[in-house]
This record gives sequence, structure tokens and C-alpha cells, in this order.
Amino acid sequence: MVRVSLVVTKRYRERMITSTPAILTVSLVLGLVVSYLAIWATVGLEPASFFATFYQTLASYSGLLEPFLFLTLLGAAISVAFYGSYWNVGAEGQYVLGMLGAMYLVMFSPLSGTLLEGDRASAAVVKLAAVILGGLLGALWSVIPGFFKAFVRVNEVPVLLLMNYVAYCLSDYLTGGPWKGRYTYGYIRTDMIPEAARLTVVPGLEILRYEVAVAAAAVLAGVYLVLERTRLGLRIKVLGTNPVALRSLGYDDRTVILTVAALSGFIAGLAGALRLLGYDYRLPYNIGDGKTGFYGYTAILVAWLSFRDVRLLVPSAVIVSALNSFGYRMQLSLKGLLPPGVSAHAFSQIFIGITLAVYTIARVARDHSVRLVIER
Amino acid sequence: MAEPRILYALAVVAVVIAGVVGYLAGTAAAPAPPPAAVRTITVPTTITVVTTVTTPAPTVVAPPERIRAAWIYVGPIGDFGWTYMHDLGRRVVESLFREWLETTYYESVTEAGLLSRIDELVRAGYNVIFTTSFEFMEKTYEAAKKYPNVMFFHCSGYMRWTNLGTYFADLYQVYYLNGLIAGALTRTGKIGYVAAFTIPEVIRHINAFAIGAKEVGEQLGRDIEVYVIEIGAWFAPDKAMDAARYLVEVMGVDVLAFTEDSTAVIEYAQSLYERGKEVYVFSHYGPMYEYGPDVVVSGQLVRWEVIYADILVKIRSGVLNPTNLANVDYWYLLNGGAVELGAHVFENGTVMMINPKHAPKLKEIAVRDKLTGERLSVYDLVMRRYWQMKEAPLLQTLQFSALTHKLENLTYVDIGGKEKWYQIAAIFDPFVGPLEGWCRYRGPEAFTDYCKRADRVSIPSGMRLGHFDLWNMDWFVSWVKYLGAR
Repeated sequence: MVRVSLVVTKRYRERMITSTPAILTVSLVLGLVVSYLAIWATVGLEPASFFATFYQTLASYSGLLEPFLFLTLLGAAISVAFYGSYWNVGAEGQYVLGMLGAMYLVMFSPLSGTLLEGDRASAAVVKLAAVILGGLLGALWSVIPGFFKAFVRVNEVPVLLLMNYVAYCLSDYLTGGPWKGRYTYGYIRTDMIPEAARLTVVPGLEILRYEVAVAAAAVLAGVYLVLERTRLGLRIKVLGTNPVALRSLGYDDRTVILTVAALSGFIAGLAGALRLLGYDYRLPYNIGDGKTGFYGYTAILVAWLSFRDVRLLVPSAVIVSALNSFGYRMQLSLKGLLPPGVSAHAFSQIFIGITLAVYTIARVARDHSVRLVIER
Repeated sequence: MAEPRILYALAVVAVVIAGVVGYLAGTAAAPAPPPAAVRTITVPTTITVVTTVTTPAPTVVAPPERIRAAWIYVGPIGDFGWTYMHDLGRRVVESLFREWLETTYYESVTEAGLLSRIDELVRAGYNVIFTTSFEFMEKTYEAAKKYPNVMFFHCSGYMRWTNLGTYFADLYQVYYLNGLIAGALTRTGKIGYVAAFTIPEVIRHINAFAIGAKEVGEQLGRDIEVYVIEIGAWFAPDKAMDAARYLVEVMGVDVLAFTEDSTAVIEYAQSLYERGKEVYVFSHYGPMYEYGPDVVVSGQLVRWEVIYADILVKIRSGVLNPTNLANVDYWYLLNGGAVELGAHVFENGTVMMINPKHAPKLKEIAVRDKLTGERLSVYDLVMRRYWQMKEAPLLQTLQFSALTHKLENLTYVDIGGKEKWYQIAAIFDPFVGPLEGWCRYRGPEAFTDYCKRADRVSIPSGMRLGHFDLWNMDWFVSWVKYLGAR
């Protein structure tokens, strides 16, 4: 009898981080080449147009800025959770809850009245309160599955996923019912938030909002400091790698689970609140039909690409937002080549998928030795 | 420790190659500098000249040599309804004007993603942008202010700017014709309508459909009621099918019409037919007959190319430019050919107005024309009304501009002399009193004066609603029952 087995052993590296950027680059280039070949084989796009589109995507950095900032924020939220082995696939729902919190505060809370008075200082306070409330609601949304994980030992992944749909439904309920707009021309959606509640547009770079840029930088720095420089960060890391050790050291792992869930949810909720105040200005109906841009899900890729390294969140977010934007641009390049009725979007997904697959393979190959063992 | 070094080396080589290839490709295939016209239309300068110089120099706005037009769609081009028909319009003009027109499109764009897509298009050198969803209105307006040299056209909205015009092809007359047929075919008198949103456009269509159904149904002794379910989405095949099922199974309707961009309601009706239950249905926007050959009776078709061709020719010849779109507001009806009665287009391009399977039934049912008192078949009545609404010699010009919409409901004007009455609008319109209705939106939420003041609407006998009454319609005729949003 012959037994064939794959033996995968993790390699030891003192400073594993060093070659990760290289792997990112290699997989990006390989992904580009392989997906080009795939597209070329199916519809015969000439290379100039393909690579030019990619070049233009990266060159027009301002187009990437908006998805980049939100993916960084959400990627940071998810990364924190991943450190503590809290697999937060619920950032999407927490993001929506953040929008709801901000919407409530600037439109329906007692504080909303102060926005109409035109006082800039008090408007800033209301905006800050809206963002914090959004963060708190996001934290709440994340703590619920965290509670089940910590106290009932229920795996958090399905609960978090389901909570996303509950968030969509909650948003639709509010948008179609108590929060339905009066000046929407019969449409089901909320009214727009008042001008005073909107974030500050950066002159000359209309796609950017000061507050979002500041928040992204602050969150990155904060997450890095918490994880690398505080005891809480250490406990989160130990929770992620060896929860038994955490308990035997005398810490209550349940508290750490709840903390990491809350921290992650807070950042995601914050991102949602900033989104509403800075870009969307209102809640649409059927928000689950892609109207969030599915950033909460896309950001999982960012966290995953960074492999639990906060420093790599920024390049990962650049890559994912570039891939996304490139996907849209490919629609323009492919348009004439596809038969009518065929979506170019599918082709753009090929590229994203291949790049991520190459990255994963390269990453695993670097960190692990794989041997094929045949026994007789 | 050799492996990381190899990877580094590989990475460096790869980056260099990618950079070089990217750069070469970028320079080789980079879009040509913006068309000459974009550079010659210097809007702000022109305005300054006019305001500061006492004898203004004639401003020359050269029409563009080449037009690069982009469409931004809310749904997939394969929806077979709204977006499909817009894209069909795009393909027609692209082929027709290929000497000077280049087109592209984005599909399935959300409101949140709209500005990024517009940024990309402007950067890629597109100088005419069509956005085809009401949801895009505010963001299109924002983009128009940001890019004053680009011409924007927004479908179905009302916000305009110097470089942002609006356009719409409305189906209410065709819905009325469908309603005549529905009134003849219903046995129960109960008719169902699956509505995307109860915005004025859809309310207008439901009312016109209900008016037609009552005109015929009443004469056949049926008590017509139209049940409306609002599904809250333009493209939601599952929701549309659920709503249709509720209307048939719970409300007991035997005719369905809808405003949703997929073929779901038709496929549902066809599946009922295959199980032995006959529910008639009217195709919406696209030629959906093939999805329900046994149950589709007729429907509404749109020809956006009629409007797109008009806009593009006017841009090419210099009539429309980024300084003068503030009053461009197309509102095209049957008379201009932008909409059509039917559910199918034959291979030779002709339209099947009424499914031949159901035509004999309609030819047998006799009714009276309420205008003349004459007896004729429902089939003939539909054709008569169709031609009555199609014939309107001067109307199309008035339908082009926001300034002249108020004249659209003048059937005749008095020009004196022996001719005296000159016909402007169609001699028949479904929205002529007496009509009784109830307000869907009330008080501050209402759009018309009727509903701002009261909860009920009463249109006196002989009064014909004007453009703005139709455009803002916020009330249902009394035999429409709204079952709510689900």
C-alpha cells in the first residue's frame, strides 16, 4: 500500500516581515500578467490598452483616495480583531450601524437642532458626537457576537455574518418607516443631512474630506500603539495565538474578547459615520443591494493581505482600492470587445482573484516548507 | 536565508519591467488630448467678457469635432428593461454617428459610486455624460458644477444647470392604452400593479392604466379596482415576483402590470399559465414578449435613441453647449416616437403592438367610444386612441424646453381668421376631468397644490391636466388601492 501525504511545516523566521512587501509586489505583477493572459485568451484585448489602463489607474491617485481611506479604516478595524483571533466578518454591519448612529444624531436627536443655527463650533461638536455615536453603535454590533463567543462559546463568524443582514434590515426599516424623507419626491430614502453636518471638502481635492484623512491616520497610529506598546495589545496578541496561556497567566480571556470586539466594531462604526457625513449624506433604501459598496467585506481582503501587520495595512489598502478601481476602468477598455449584454465586471474580478491567489500561494510558500511524502 | 533575497531580486526585476511596460503602454495608448471643442468652449471667460465690456464681442462657441459620450446606468445592461433600453439607444447612436461619436458606459453604478465614475470618465476625456437614474440627480448636479466644460444630461430628474440638461420619455399614454386592454380582459375587475417606487412618474403610469381599465371595464359591467404594491427597488426580480404572487393569490387579480426593470412578473405569469391559470400581463420598457408568449398581451416600449440622437446632433451642430442647458428638459411622448405601444420587435424592426394570440378576443368585445358614442371593438378603440395621441403636429417642439411645457395641454390655439383653431396637442388625453382621487402624499410632503391643500383631488369635468400636474402627480385616482410597501 502506498501512502501519499503532503507535509506542511511552518518555517521559523526571526523577522518574517522583511520580505512581505516583495511578495505583495510579485503577486501584483504576476496577477497582472496572468489575468491579462486570461482576458487576452477570451476576448483578445491588446496589451497596450490593458497595461495603460492599469498605469492610468495608479496615476490618477485622487480617484483611489476615497476607497483607500475607507478600506484603511475598515481594514484596521478587522486587523485588530484578527490579532485577537476574533474573525470579524461583520465589519459591514458595524459600518452600517455607524451610518445609522450618525444619521440619528444629525437628523433626529435633540442635538440636531443646533445644526440649523449656523454656529460652526457647535456644528463641529455635533459632528464629533455623531461620529462617536456611530462608533459606539458599531462597537455594540460587534460586542453582541463577542458576548456569545466569550460566554456561550458560540463561533463568532456565522453570528457576525448574520448581524450584517440584521443591520441592513434595520437600516431599511428606518429608511422606509420612521426616517423616511419628506423631500424625496416620493422615493423611499431619508432626506439629506443639513449642510452644516457635512464634513469639510478639501479645496482642489474634492474627493477628500479632512476629517476622514485625520481619522484614518489617527486610527492607524492608535491601533499600532495599542498593539505594540500597551499591555492590552499584548493580551490581544496572546489571545490570538494562545488563549490557554492567557488564562493560565490569570487574565480573563472573556474580557479580552469583548474588548477586542468592541475596539474593532468601534473603528468600523466610525468609518460608517464618516461615510454618511462626508459622502453619502443620506441613507438609501435596500442598502444591502451593494449601496454600501460592500466596503465592509472588501476590507477583509485588506486585513488579510496585511497578514496581521498594521504597517502593511496602507499598502494593502492601496492595492485593493487600485484593483477595485482598475476593475471599473477595465469596463471601459473591454466595452467594444464583449458581445452586447456581457458584463465587463466579471473580467475585472478575474484580475482581483488571481492577484490575491498568487499572493496567498507565495505567502504560504515562503512561510512554510511543503514536502510530498510517499510511503510504501 | 537565500529565498527572500531571490524574491527581492525577482520583485525588483518585476517592478522595473512593470514600470517600463506600463509607461510605454501608457504613452502609447493614453487618450488623445481633449477634443479641440472642449478647449474652445471657455465658459467663464465668455461670461466675464459679456459683463465687463460695454459692446460685447460676439462669442464663438465652436461645436465639437468629435463627441465622446458616456452613459452611467443604475442597473445591468442585461436587465431587459430600463437599462437595456438605454443601452440599445446608445448602440443606435454609436452606430449612426460613428464618424464623430465615440461612446462608452458604466453599468450597475450606485449613487455612492457615481462621483468616482464621473471623475474617471472626465479624466479619460469624455465630454458628454448621461446619467440614467433619478437617484443620480443630486450627485450629477454636483458633478456638473465641478466640471463646467462637460455636458451632463440626467434622465428623469428636475435639477438643471448651465451644463446639465434633463430628459425623459414618458409612458403614461401607452399605459392608458394597456389599461383599455386590461379592462376588457379582466373577469374579476381586480387588476394588480407592481410598482418600484410610488414616485410621481409611477403614480402617473398607474393612474393612466387605471383610467384606461375603467373606461372599458365599466362598460362591460365590471367594478374595476387596481391594487398597487410598492417594492422599493428598480431592479429586484425576487421582490417583484413576490409582490405579483401576493396580488394573484391573496388579492385575486387576473391582470398584472408593473414598473420594475426585469422580466420577473412576466415569467411568473407565464409559469401560472403553464400550471393552468390565466393571468394577463403587460410588458414593461423592453420587448419582453418572448418571456411570456402566452400571457403578454401588449406593453410599453421606449426608444431612448430618439432623444439621444436629438441631443447629440444638437451638440454636434453647436445648438447645445455647456452654457445653455439650463432649460433643456425633454419630455417626449407617443407623438415624438420616443415611446411605443407593444411588447415585441420583429426581426425586420416592426413592432408587435398586440399579441396576435389575444387580438381576436379584443376584436370581439364591443364598447362605446366615450368621445363620439360610436360602437366599436376594444381592439379598434385602442388603435383609434393610439393614433389620436400620436397626432400632434406642433407638440414635440414644446416638449423640448422647460420654458414651453406649460403650453403642452393646449389642444387648440386661436389664430383668428377663417382658420381660427389650430391644433397643438393630441385631441385625446387620458387625464381629462372629471376625475376623483386621493392623495398619496399630503401637506408638506405633497408636490401638487391639490394635495398640499387637501387630502382629496377632484378634477372638474373637461379640465385637462397640464405638464406640471402630470410631472408632479402625487395622487391616485379613487379606484386605485395602495397596499403599501413590502
